Amino acid sequence: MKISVLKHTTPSRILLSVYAGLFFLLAITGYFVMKEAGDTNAKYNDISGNSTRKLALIGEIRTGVARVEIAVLRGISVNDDLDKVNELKSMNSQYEKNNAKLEDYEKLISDTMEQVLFHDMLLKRNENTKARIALLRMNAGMDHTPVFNHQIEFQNEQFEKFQQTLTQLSDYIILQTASKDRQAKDSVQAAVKHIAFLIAATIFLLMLMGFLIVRAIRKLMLTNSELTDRDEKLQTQKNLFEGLLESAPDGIIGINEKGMIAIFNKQAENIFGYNREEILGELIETLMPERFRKPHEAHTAGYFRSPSNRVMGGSQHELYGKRKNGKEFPIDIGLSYLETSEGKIAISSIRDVTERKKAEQQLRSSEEALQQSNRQLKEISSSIPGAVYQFVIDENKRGKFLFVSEGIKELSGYTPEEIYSDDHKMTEGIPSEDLQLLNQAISESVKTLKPFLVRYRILDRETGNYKWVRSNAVPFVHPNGKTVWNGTLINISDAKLAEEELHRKNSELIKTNEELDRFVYSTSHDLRSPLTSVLGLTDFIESESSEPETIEHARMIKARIQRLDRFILNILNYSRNNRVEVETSFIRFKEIIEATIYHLNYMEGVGKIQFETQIDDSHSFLSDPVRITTVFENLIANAVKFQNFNQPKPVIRIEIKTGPGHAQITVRDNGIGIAPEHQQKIFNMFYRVSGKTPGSGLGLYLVKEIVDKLEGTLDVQSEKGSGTTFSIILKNLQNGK
Amino acid sequence: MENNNQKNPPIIMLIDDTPEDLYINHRVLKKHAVYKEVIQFSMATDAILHLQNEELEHSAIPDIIFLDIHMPLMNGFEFLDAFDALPAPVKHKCKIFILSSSFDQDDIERSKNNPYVKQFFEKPLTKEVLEKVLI
Repeated sequence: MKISVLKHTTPSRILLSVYAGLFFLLAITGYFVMKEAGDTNAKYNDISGNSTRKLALIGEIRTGVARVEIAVLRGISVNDDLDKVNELKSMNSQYEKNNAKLEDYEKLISDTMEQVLFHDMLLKRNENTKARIALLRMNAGMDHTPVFNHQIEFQNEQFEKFQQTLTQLSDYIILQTASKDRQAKDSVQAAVKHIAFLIAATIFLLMLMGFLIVRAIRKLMLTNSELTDRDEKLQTQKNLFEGLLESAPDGIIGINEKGMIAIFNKQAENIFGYNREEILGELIETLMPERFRKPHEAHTAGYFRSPSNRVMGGSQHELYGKRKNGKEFPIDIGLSYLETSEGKIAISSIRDVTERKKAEQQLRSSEEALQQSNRQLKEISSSIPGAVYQFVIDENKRGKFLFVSEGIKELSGYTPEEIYSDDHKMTEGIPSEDLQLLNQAISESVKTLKPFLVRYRILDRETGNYKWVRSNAVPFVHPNGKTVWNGTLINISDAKLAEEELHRKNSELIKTNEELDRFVYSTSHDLRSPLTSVLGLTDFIESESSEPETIEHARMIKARIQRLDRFILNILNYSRNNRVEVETSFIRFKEIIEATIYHLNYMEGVGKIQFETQIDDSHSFLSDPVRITTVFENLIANAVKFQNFNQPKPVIRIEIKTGPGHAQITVRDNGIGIAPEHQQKIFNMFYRVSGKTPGSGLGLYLVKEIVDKLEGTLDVQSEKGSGTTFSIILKNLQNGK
Repeated sequence: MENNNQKNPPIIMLIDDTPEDLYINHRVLKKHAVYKEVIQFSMATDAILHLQNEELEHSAIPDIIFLDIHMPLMNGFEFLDAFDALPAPVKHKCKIFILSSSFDQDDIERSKNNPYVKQFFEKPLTKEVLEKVLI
């Protein structure tokens, strides 16, 4: 890199030549001014002399008639007044003639005068009367004088005219002379002013020149050390320049007019992958992809013809560079130029915009993705039944829809655009009591930031009927501090109808159920009441009869009645289990089991069975005692019923163990057992293993129902011929319920 | 107590709308109990009227009442409510036992929770029950 700097003497040289030019101009101007002053002076002198001469002449004319001719001729010639000259000439010639006559007359006059004088003398001498003299004069006059006098008078008139003309002429000349004199004086003054100005200007310029010359000389007289200082400064500036060049964020490449690379900074090395040493002097086209090379050469030439600072390419043209490894990459180029001692250098600042292009590409694709997802949102949101919306409460506490999907048209009769422009359209068809509910739900949601769900009606403007809709929205606080809901609005008219139908059916069912319960209750009572009477009467027969067969019959009646009685009890319990809520209290298993066994006393063979109970209820256990009683009644009755009385020791063993979470209950017998194929069916309603066995088929079903209700499990293990074990795990309902 | 009863046998009142049950109960009493008198009512309202009578001497106030629940016009529970309004001597002297064919748990619970009810028995009245009552 080399930079030529203009020599420091050049400005002085230029200054000197400017001064010289100025001086030359000044000299010429002075010459002309002086010349004009001289001319003016000469003219003045001429006029002045002329006038003097004229005045002298006029003086002469005035003093001597004889000189009139000369004076007139001279004076007039000066004035170049041809008419006057001619007039004067003719007058002169007339005058000459007159003069000649005059001279004659003068002579005559003098003669006459002498005669007159003589006559006068004679008159005087004669001292005759005046008349005589007058007469004499008359005579004389009559002889000569009248004519002569007349001629004299005429001559005198002429002469006076002439004198007058002369006087006019003289005045004119005097006037002219005075005017010329003034003019001359003015021009002399002007000339003097010019000259003074010129002198002042000259002096000023001379001083300036002197000053400049002194400066130039002083500069020329710079010492060597000063020159060294300057070189150092230049070096510093050069370093600074190079530093700037190297630290520039852009690649900077300079090319000369031949298109060869003359400047190649560090960043350019980084961008293109060339070392400075290998690329300096190469053609700039080396750094371009093949297809740009040819056109660029033409551009280069064009640029040097009219260099300017500008951006290369432009928005339409994408520019590419080529790295040393042959890879192309997009670039931005800014163009400028430098004038150096070695000629023009075009400077390109080059930026690798690969990343930017990539980012632009990403931006484009993400915009496309955004549009795509907007389209999808619109498609999806318009295809779902009902509408989705985004809703905001603004600072005026007014609701505003930021988004509503197309489905709103079907619900409200208005398009999203109509709703955006007037929010009232959204609430227009809502009955006031429903609107109040909706507003309450929204204000609640504003406070708690919890979702709201409101069902309300909208008037269908076409049919005049109400539609039921469900508005369900989740709020969040937007970064701008406003509360925004995303929600759905769904037409639930059908569901609402179904719901209403369901409600109706349900209340019907509830009613029916209640009736059924009442029916079961009263029926069971009505059935049982006579049974107890029969039992009481049978007791009398049994205890009072002496007939063994009658006693036996009474006992059979009693057993059948009691069977029927248990059945009725189970029906009532079944009804009760469905109807009555679980009511918990501490369960006293021992009491329940004892009472149950006591109640089952009527059953055949109960007395032969050995009941074994093992109860560990040290953990207090909460459940529903009435239901648990029913469970034990049925399980124990069942164990009695299916006991094998042919064995030496029929046993029913009841084990209970309570814990904090559960109670484990087992009822085991060594009875006839259940065949595997029946085991899963025994809990079905009205299932009976065989016609021979007693029972209604309701007992175990009721047990199962109750265990379910008490959140327990029921299991059965049985082997045909060796007995059955029912295992129940019941939940300890001590927490709640 | 048995000695007591022998010295001073109780007056027993039976309230039941079913004539057969009145008959059975009366017969069981005759067979297994010692009493001064058995007063029977098939209508609870009549029983209340009897107990309300101001001329009823203290000695004539029943010691034991067997009360059925399911009865027309005035059922057992309504009788108990009316009983609550009776003079204090009556309320102090009468011991009420429910004797019902109902095995409805609600009836049983409700009976047991009533302060005037000593115990709940299922019909029919038996010797065992009487033994418990008359001890």
